[in-house]
Amino acid sequence: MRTIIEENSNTEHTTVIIKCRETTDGIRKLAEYIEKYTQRVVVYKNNERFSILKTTVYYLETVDGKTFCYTENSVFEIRQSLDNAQKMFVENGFVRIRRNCAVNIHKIKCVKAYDNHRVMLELDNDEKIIASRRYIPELKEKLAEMG
Amino acid sequence: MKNIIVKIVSNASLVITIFMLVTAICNIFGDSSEKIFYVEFLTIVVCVFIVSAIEFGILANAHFKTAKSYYISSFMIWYICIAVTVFSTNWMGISIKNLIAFTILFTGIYALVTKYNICTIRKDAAEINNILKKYHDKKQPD
Repeated sequence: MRTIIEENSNTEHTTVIIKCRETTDGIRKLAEYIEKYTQRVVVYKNNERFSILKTTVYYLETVDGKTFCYTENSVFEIRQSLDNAQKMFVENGFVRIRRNCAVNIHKIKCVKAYDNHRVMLELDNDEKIIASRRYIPELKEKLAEMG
Repeated sequence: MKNIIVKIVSNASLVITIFMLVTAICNIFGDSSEKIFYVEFLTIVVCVFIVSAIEFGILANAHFKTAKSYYISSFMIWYICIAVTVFSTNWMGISIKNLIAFTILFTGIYALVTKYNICTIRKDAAEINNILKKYHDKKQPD
């Protein structure tokens, strides 16, 4: 398969066209992946509205009734409940790790055993978050599906 | 199948516990000759409830600076609740000798359970790391 990227400063929307003889499962998966990769979400910071790529979000957390999404080095408010936000992000590999936190499994670097039967997740940006024991089986299951 | 069994077991346990609690309360307040037995039973239930609420509700979400401070808190909570149960129900007479025996026995069992928990969580962490390693290798074949 050849990959061609055409740069044009007049292009309004980035468009990916797959040219093929027939739509196979592989092509369908590729299209789904591209679609997932370009999905955006509306977030807020200091009452300013931003649109960020879902794949750039590391984890979602609810603090004092507000849900925040954490990117590599920024924090944005997402005006949704954690349950709704997680539903929006479920296709992007988000899994609940605590009652008030869901993590993007693609951003987990490694895990370490922690006290009280919990595990500490180290993310790609070196941030560390704790997964409660209740959610470890779900995390393992999701990671196994991904692997 | 596993999920159905888990649901049946948890629901059955809940129903049995409620049934036993109702029986105990009826016998304590009713005209029963076995009041002491039911009072002891209720003492055990209350202690187990308190210790579970603290361990799984408070300690599970609390942030401890070191693992040692967590284990000390957990140990003390379990120790006090089980000591109250054992000594208040007269299973062990209250004496220094019995208290020492209880402390030694409890510390041994607590250490074993803690060791088992640590091993389990380390195993879980190792499994997760293996999956992650495979995933990262797949993501970056070069």
